[in-house]
Amino acid sequence: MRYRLIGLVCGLAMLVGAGLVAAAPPVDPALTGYWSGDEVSGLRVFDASGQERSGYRYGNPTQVPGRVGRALQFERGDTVEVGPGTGLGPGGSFSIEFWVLCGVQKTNFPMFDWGSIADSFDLYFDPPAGMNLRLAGFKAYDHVTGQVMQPDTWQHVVWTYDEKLTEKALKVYVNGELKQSWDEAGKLGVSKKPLIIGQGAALDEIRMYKRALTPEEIAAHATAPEAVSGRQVVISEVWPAKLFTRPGQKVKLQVGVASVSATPQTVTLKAFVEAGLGRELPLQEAPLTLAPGEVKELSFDWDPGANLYGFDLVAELRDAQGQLLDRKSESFLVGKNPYQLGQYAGYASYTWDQDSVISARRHAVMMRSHYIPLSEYWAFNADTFGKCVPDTDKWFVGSGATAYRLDNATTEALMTSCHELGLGVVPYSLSYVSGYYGTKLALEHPEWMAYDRKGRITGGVETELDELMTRFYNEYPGSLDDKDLMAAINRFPNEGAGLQISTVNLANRDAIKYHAESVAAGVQHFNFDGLRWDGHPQVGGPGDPITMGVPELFDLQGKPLVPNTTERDRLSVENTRLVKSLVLKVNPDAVFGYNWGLEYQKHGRIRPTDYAECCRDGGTILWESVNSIHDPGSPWHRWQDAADMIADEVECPRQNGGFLQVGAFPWWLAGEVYGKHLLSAIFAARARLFNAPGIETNAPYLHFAARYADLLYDASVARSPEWAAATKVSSPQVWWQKYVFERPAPEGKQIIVHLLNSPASEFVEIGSTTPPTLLKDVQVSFALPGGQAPKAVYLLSPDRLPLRTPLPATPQGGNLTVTVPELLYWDTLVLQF
Amino acid sequence: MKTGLPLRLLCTWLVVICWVGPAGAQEQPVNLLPNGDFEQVAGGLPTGWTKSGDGQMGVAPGMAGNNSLQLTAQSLGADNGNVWATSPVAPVTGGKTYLLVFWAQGPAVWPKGADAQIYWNFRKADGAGLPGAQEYMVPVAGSYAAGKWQVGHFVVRAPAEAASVVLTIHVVTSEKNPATLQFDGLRLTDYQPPEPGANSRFYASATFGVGGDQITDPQSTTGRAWDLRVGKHQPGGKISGPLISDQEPGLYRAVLRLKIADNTIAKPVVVFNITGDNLVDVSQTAARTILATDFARPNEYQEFPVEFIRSPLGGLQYLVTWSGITDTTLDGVKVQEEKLLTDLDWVSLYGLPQSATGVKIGTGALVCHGLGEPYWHLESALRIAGGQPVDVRYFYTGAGGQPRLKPDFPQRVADLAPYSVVILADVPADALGFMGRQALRQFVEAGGGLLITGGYYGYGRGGIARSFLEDVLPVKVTDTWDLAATGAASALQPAKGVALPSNLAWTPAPQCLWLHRVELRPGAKPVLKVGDQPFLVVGSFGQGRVAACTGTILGKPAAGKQPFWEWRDWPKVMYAVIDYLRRGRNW
Repeated sequence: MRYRLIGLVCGLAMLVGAGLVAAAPPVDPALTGYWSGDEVSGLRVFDASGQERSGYRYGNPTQVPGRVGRALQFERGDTVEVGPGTGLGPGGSFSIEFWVLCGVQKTNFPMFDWGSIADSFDLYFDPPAGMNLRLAGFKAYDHVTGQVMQPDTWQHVVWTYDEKLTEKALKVYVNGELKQSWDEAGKLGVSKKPLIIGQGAALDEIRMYKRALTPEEIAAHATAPEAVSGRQVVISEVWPAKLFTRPGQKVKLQVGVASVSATPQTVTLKAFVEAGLGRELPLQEAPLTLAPGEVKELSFDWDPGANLYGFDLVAELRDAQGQLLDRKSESFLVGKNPYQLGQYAGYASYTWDQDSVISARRHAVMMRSHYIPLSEYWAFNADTFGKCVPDTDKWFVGSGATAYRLDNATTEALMTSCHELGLGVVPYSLSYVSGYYGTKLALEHPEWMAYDRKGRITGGVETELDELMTRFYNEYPGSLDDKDLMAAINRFPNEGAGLQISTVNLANRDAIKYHAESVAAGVQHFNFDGLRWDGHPQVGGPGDPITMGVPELFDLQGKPLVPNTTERDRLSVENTRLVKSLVLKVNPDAVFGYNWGLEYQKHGRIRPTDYAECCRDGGTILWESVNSIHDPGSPWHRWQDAADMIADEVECPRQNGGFLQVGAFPWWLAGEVYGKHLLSAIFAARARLFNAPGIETNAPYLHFAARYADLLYDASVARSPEWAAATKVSSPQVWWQKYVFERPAPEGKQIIVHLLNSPASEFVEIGSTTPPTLLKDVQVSFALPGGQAPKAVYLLSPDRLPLRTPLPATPQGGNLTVTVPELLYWDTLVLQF
Repeated sequence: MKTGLPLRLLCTWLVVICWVGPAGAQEQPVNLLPNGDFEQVAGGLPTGWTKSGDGQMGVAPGMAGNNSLQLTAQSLGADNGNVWATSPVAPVTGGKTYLLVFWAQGPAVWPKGADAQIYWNFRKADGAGLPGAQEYMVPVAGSYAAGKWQVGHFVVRAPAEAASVVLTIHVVTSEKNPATLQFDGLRLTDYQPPEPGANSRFYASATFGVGGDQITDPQSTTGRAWDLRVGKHQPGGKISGPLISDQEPGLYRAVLRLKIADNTIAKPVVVFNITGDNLVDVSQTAARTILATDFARPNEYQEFPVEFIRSPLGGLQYLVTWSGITDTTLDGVKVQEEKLLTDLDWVSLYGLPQSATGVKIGTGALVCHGLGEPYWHLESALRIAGGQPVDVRYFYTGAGGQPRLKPDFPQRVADLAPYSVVILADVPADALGFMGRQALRQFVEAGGGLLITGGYYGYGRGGIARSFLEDVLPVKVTDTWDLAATGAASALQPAKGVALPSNLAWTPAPQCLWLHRVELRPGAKPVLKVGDQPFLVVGSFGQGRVAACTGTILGKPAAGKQPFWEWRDWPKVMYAVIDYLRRGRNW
């Protein structure tokens, strides 16, 4: 769960409903972020300001004794990244406050960086004992202090800027004492980048304010820091060790409670798992006594039993009077197939250095923090067809825009990081011949290849690089030190070697057998969790997208390659089953995803048996051609057409036991408005997102889809024409007709109605900054069959917190009307019977 | 003809055949354009050509003959600089089809901001111009004419009322730096291709179009069509057709099928272009304007043929520009094959010199690497053989999958002068380019040596058929699908009566697993065989020698078997072949 932080001090107003507590206002309304160092839950670093600015740990920042409770110790490469930024600006006064134990430093490093001086600010430690606050949008960038820092003691630092002052507006205080001031004026910029904390030193009690703290406040904070927060005990950790766990395995859940008080404290901790729409599955409820500064950590091996999909681990802390002191939660997933549970993201490595290892680990953190249970390792196969265990520990893959350099170190970092965090990894696989290994294979087996009308191999050819690659592999590892050779190879940064994406005659039984064995060996060797096939071993023919645009294919003798579509289907399904069976032998839990080119209506029908085999047992069908809806040439350029098409296409794999993923959208062009409309249309349709990058504005939607995966992705959630006919929505702006579902849930039948607000523009504008018109008081009416009233009605939305709120549900005359107070992008109504 | 261009001085000109004449008949097509070769000059200007615009017109050394037209444009202020050269009047007959062939050359670095076109301006019998939409523009792109003479062609059907045409060559630039282009060899001839044969392919508009609406239409060929509505769609909108890349170079007819709502307006409905796809090395286009009154009935599909020529390089695309005067529904385009052209046919079509004399032969070697070239051990053989320089070209496929070499294969025979031997190690003939293939043919004819090997791009799959190399080789390519497994009879053995080096170790027997099945040409001599199939064949063409290795490095030998490319003595065989080609030995 993203964060639903409550309770900073006694006396705060609290809203409690259906087991949920709404966020309370912070102590100081100007406080925009507070990272105490005490509440570090797995990767997550909680924000105690109530402003929901939790960060995530990258690298390995560790908890150490701090000035108050615990602090975070950073080395180079260790950071906490706060996706939503600081909450400061644009313009206005501000304060940056923290405690620091800087140690002996020889080089400078940014303790805080929010888009640097291109966007907003950064604050460098400037050795041996200075600081430099660099500000965008001010008279001067640099504001360098004197040697004000001590290496071996905790020091209290506050930078303030008071926009009302015409002189000495920017000041820096150390240990409550004004050290330096500047005649500054300007407007602090706002960055879309995360706030990056760390890179060196130990930091504690970091706070940011949208006002200038007074000298008196600063002096008080410096002398009595424990009193600033007003908290005595906090939930320091709520952390499911893994995002995704398979049924039958126990889920390791960790809860921590920390005292930040100078006196002993007794509290009551209630820990439970919340399933579905607020069903509590208890873990523990007991009083705890903590000595000053003590941290108590509890670990639960929770058996999910028959429970599946998304859950929250929830911890609540109450005082002796039953007053809620703190409440934190974190979401996790239980299911057989990570493809089925949510979204997935891709990872690619372009270099053979430490940067790749670091980026692989960062990728795992990004996935976990965005609730993405499955990652794809791009172009993993060593040159695609027939070589999935490379002979060297560094190797080349792909061509063109997808030319990668992979190595064992990066692969291991990716696999280990992902598996530790409970994320699956599948390799990207192709059944085409490419690159050094593929070319070698093609030269050995011309009878395995497919040919065009001119008798030529399909795809591209690049002989110069092939010869260089041959030298590279033949002379490995000495070739790594051959500067001339490497320079020559580097002149082809985007080229494949030898053959490039050349079609294989997959009707050849020897070829497919060799390939299937190779694929299974690769899965076993690298401990992959399954496969994603971009071009699984389908046997091609005229009109197929799988032939890479080649209208006709022939075997080596010039005989048309399987012109009969039924035979093509038979051979394709035989190939699919062969590879699947060999992979399942080495990994019985392996999951499978397949590309099926264009939408099912065009191509799934060409090989119905193979399509059904791919869908069977939760296979994923990836549909990519919908990704250019922003292009006026797309048949689905109209938002309504795109949403309708996705909603209809979902049914094709579902009817065969699989499910649909859509992607790969050009997120690098995308704005927030496009992202939210698109994700609404995908998730409400019960489709999944392929290749979800770490976009913060998408994150709440990905979290919502994970937490309520049962409402979206349970196989029993089916379209209900009857309920659609019985439903009326007051606003014509709302799209809902294709999103009325019935689910026979364990706790009773659920009727699920997704309400999508129509975009401001009729056509898809990928960079649009115009959100939809906020709809207020949308009336949704249901003619209840037999007048039967639901037990409860819930309104869910990723657009606000809490994600779920109960609505009054009193039928009148066999009809039930509920009011949705505000609909921005996407709300979901659930009628629980 | 002028001095300084010895090749062109000595070239012979082929008599141009008439495409429609009976087999074997040869007629000289008449160039309808007076002074299209710019050889008639008066006062430093080509006779009959007039200049307009603020640029310069003059003559310069020609591609063929003494002179070419030189046009220079320069922008001296905010406006573009322009120069137009307008041709003398050429007679045409309304409704007939005409072919314009032209040569163009720009500076090596195409001047920034410069562009050039040739316009057709048809006139009625009284000299009055036909409507503007009856003009056609021929793009002269810098991408292919930079630093070298390059040929282009354009096929146009004269409007029904046309009695004559004038051509206007336009050079324009937005820059202060002068843009200078030369034009030569403009030939306007009557074009009557043969009737199409059975080969045809339909390209549906609905599959490829943009700019209108896809609709369901039972009357259309595929059940779907592309619809353009007055008031809904933008006049001037272009419907792009598919890339037509799967036809062999030759003569074709494209038949556009469409219908309109109102056939009473005597104005253009669409202009139909067959145009280069930006990948082509030559400008190759055709066009036809279709008037509403050309339709017999409203709301009924009607077909409009357009003749076009697909050159040896590049693909084509069809483009329909809609005028917006009436609702129009496009079905698609049927492309019908009329005649596939050999390289020699193109010589005739473009009026190129067929052979060259005075060609110098050097001592070096030019090795063109295909897939797996190192397996052939040519480097070792050439090291033993000596001779400098040894230059290398690499086979690759460029944009659009076109086979290429890098650097480019020499395009003039004079550029092959440093070499005594050219080796194509599994490199298709089309990778050399049209001019490169001709240069290689002229090189061998003049005494150069050529070795060609088999492989994925050899022989039947190598574009040899109908190319300049077809009759150069001592073997005849009989089938595209000529690659065959040798099976049990896979051992190489010397052919009878051939004196191979005596120090070759034939045990264990070197194996060839896949070879091309070919026929021997008269005079060809097998040197090595695999079973009863020729593996290495030598012969001659003109003054030169040619060796054809039909073997390939394809296949995985069984355990214990020695493939010929791993045979210790294989480099000696290759050395002997090079020595033979250089006339160091006879076979």
